[in-house]
Amino acid sequence: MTDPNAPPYTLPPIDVVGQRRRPSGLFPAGPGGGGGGNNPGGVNQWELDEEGDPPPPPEGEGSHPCDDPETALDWNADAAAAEAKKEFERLAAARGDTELYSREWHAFIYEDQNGRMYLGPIVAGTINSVTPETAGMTPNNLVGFIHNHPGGGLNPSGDDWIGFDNLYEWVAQWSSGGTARADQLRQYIVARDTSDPNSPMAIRVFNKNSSRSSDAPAPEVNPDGQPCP
Amino acid sequence: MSLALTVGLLALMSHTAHQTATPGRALDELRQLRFEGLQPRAAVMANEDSKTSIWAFYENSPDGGPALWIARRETSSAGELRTEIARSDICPQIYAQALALERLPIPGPEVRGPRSASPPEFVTQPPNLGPLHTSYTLWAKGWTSGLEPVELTVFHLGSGPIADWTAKAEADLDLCWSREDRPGPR
Repeated sequence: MTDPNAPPYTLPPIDVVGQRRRPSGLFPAGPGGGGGGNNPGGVNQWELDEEGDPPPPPEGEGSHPCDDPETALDWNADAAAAEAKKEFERLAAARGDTELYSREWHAFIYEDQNGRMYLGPIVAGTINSVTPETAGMTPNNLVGFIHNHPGGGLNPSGDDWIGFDNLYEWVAQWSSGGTARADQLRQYIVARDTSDPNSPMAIRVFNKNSSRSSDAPAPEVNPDGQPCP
Repeated sequence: MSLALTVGLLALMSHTAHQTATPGRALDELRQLRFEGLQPRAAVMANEDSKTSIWAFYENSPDGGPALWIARRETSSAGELRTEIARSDICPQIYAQALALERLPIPGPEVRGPRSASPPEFVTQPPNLGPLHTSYTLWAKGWTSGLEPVELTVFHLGSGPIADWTAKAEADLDLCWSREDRPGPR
């Protein structure tokens, strides 16, 4: 029986890994307050693990994902994906394209020795395909890749997953971190939900644990996300 | 180069809807491409950009005479399906293309991975996956030295030996094709 004198139960902060939200959710706040750019940021949300249990909540002040190198990687990779999308849009506008609907764009996301994320060469393709540029890629700096689907397709295609698996195997084989490093790989898809005419071109993130069925909801990345200070 | 080689049954892979087919789907389609009752000796599926091409090669020896090679190409693009035939009695280079399939530089299975035999100081290059949303599948029959029949399926993404073969075959056989219902070159 509930103790009527007990203080009201307060939900612990909820964080999403990285700068992400579930459908209709809010993006987490940035380390300085706000989610970056024009996004005010929402409550922090923890994702449930496979058993349905939330990870331990952060303790005290200063427990932002940027404070931990492991969680900062997700945070900064998401910010790099947001930067890539903005670059895609800028380059598309320079070509006179119809936003990101005219062709596919692709970039790899790398990490330097200090944990700073940066983009590899951005390449433009056709409306159905793009050939990634791997210049500068090593098994130790690869964090992930991002490309858009002009015709829709919120999730990676079957071939996108095969490509992901090949890169995963390559990083697992050749990186100094082995499979632990490969486990950090992620791919971002920029696409619009064609069933919703009001939906924007959104960034969604997938890793080796993501469901590969086409209708599974995937976390959406804050398009205004900023890297850790 | 990214290759997956499967001898016998190809593991079926889950399909997520986008532009291209999966190896599993390709296998089922390729090995049943009969033409005038003939079973294909080899078949290739190319998913390129918005176009899918399925090539099949048949050998016919009517009345025990000289072998006649027939190539059938089915191309679907933008909702349109086109089926064409080429015959080796008109275009002998069809045989060369069939032969080229036998000579493809296909690696053997690498269960241990490419790093297994490399010295520690070796620096690897990134995998060449080729264009996204592009893939190629080859299906063919083979025989072991013990006369055991096997089926070979090779799949790779946008870069690899089947892509190279397809590009060359497209060029070399360009003038050989006729619509399936209209014999003779166009």
